[in-house]
Amino acid sequence: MTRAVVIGLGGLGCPAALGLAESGIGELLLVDPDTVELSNLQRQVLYRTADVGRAKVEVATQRLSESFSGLRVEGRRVHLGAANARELLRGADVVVDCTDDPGSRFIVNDVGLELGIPTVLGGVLQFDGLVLAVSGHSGPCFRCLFEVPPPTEEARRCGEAGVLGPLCGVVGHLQAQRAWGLVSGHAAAQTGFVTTVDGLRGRIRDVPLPEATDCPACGGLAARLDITPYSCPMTYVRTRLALETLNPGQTLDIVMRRGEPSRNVPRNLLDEGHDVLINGAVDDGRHRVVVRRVC
Amino acid sequence: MVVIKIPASLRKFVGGNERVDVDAANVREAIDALEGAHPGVKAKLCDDAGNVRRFINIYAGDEDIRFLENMDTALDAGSELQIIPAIAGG
Ligand SMILES: [Zn+2]
Repeated sequence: MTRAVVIGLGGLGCPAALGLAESGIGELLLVDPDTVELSNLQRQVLYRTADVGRAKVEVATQRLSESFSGLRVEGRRVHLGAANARELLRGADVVVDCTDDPGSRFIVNDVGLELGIPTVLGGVLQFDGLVLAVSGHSGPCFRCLFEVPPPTEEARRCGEAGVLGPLCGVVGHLQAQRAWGLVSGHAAAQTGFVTTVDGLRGRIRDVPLPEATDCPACGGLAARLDITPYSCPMTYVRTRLALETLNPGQTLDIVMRRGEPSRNVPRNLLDEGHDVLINGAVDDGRHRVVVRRVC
Repeated sequence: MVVIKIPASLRKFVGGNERVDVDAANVREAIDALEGAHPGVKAKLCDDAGNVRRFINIYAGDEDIRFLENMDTALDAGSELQIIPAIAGG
C-alpha cells in the first residue's frame, strides 16, 4: 500500500492532502502542530467555521476519512524538526512538504535523500508559487537551488503577507500530482527542474535545476547530456564519452529519443555495472535516464 | 537589450511590471540598470557586498548564474534573466 506523508496542513497542505486522496493513495500521514483559525478558512479547504480552535490534524483526518472510505489516514500533532524528521518520514513512499517554515524544506529535502524517499517541496507567498520534486536517490535537490533558508524577516508567512487563495490550490494540487507521478512509475518526468507559478498572470514555467557537483545533500548532478539527435550505436558512444569525464559516484542526466535508444542505453549502462537511478519517459518523444558512475 | 523577468512578489518594486528591459552586457550591469530605473529593488536581490542573496537565484536563459560567471556572466542582446526567490510560505 502506497504511503504519503504531508507535512503542514495550511494553504498548501489542505489541497495537497485532498489531491493525494483523490489520486487513490492508500495511506496518508498528516503532520501539523496548529489549530484551525478563522483567517485560515479562505484557503484551507478542509476546515469549516465550526472547526475553529480544533487541531488541524484532527479535523483533516476526519474530513478525509468521511470523503474517501478506502483511505487510511492518521494525524500527528507535532512540529517537524531535525529531531523527529527521520521518525516521521521513515516508511513513506513519498513526502510532500507544505509547511510555512523555511527551515523545514531543507530538513525534508535532506532527510528524504538520506532515507531514499522522494520528496515534493512547495512554497507560496502573495502571488508567487514554487514546486520542486526531488528523487530519493539522486539530485538535483532543493539545496542545489537555494543554499540557505531566507532570514526570518524576509520569510514573511502567508498569514502576515497574504496569499492569493486559488494559487494555494494550484500549487498544492500540483504537489499532489508530482507525488503521485513519483510513486506511480512516472518519476522521470517529475524531477530535475523547478516549477514557478505566477499567480498574477497565471503562467506556469519549468526551469532546469543547476548542475553542481558539491551539494552536501544530494552530491549534485555532474552533467547533462542530450543525445536526442543520435541513433544507436552513437547514443551509447556519446554516453560513454560523457561518463568518462565524471568521477566515480557522480551522476549524469541523459535525455534520448524513445524507442531503440531508450531500450539500449539503460541496458548497456547496467551491463557495465553503473547505477541507473531514473529510467523513464519524459513525454511522447523523449526518454530520460539518470545514471551514477560506479567504476 | 536584456529582458529581466520579475517574479510577482517583487513587481511592486518595479512599477508593477512583469518584465523590465535594460541595456546591459552582463548580469551586474543589468541589475544596476534595474536599480537605476527602480531605486530600491537591488536591495531585495543583493546583499550589501553586491552579491546575489543566497535564497534568491538568477537564471540567464536556462542556466543558473552561480555556475556561469555569476555577476560577471555576459549577456547578449535578447538574453532573458529570470529571478527565482525561495518562497517560504505554505
Ligand atoms: Zn542537491
